[in-house]
Amino acid sequence: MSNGNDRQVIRVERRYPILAIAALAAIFAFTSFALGYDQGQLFSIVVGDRAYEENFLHELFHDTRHALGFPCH
Amino acid sequence: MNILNIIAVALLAGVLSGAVYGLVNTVLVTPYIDRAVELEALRLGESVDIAYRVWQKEGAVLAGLLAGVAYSSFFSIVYAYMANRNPQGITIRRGITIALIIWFVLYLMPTLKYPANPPAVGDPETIYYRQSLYITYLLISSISAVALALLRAKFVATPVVVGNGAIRYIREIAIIGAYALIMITAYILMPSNPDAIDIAEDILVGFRVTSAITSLMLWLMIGFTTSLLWSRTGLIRRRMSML
Repeated sequence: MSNGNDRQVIRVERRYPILAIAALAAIFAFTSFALGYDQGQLFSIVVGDRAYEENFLHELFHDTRHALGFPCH
Repeated sequence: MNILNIIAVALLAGVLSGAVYGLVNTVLVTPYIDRAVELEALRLGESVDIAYRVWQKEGAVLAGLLAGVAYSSFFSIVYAYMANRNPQGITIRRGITIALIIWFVLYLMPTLKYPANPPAVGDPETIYYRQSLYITYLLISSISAVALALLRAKFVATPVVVGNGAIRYIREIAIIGAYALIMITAYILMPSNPDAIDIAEDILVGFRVTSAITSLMLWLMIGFTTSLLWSRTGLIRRRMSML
């Protein structure tokens, strides 16, 4: 039973889009590593030690790696 | 549907901004890289492999796209969090402000300690050491910024009864001061870049200035495009109707 003195409490549920955030975090981590830090590690999964000598992604992303301020040589 | 929308907006904003970034870089930054590569070849008594440089320049456009996607994903995480906290406060202006803050924390701060260098400066032997220094400094800057932003959000959510305006002002100063103190301490304590910088001053300065400008441009474009797409795809309106 309610009377005129009852106060209604409205609880606002805020739902964070956890799945979207997790997916974006995974995309961010993978692309950032490939772009800025990989020294052959990613391709070594497929071609082995040769990837460290060829350093394909490092060379391909070379100019942008410098431009974004990542350490390079 | 909402989840797919958020991811789609992040990717689209990233690809658009990254494509422009990649192209602008080839005009503004690449000439300095070309000169640095030529100098490096001269120093080694070799000639520049033109075909290889063309391939690297094509790679720079692809890398621009990848940078756009990477940074846009990060931006959308922050943006989704803020949209959930305060859907009404999410505007294009706010999006650009967030982008500016992220650029400051993720680019400018690390660059002040470990400035971007053109080719011919970095020693391949020290690459892992330099990467670890850079990542450490980046993490100090980003983790302290996130922690202080969350602390500020908690402060803002706490009602202040007495001396409202003054206390809020002091809180803002304290948050900024704490970040400055952390970064100054890190700047003093962290080791310097071990490599000697032995390259013409005009190439070094020109490269650093243009790369800072284009990276700022990338973050601002991501901020603008993401905010615009969020409003266009109705993400904010839909979320507001859910509340």
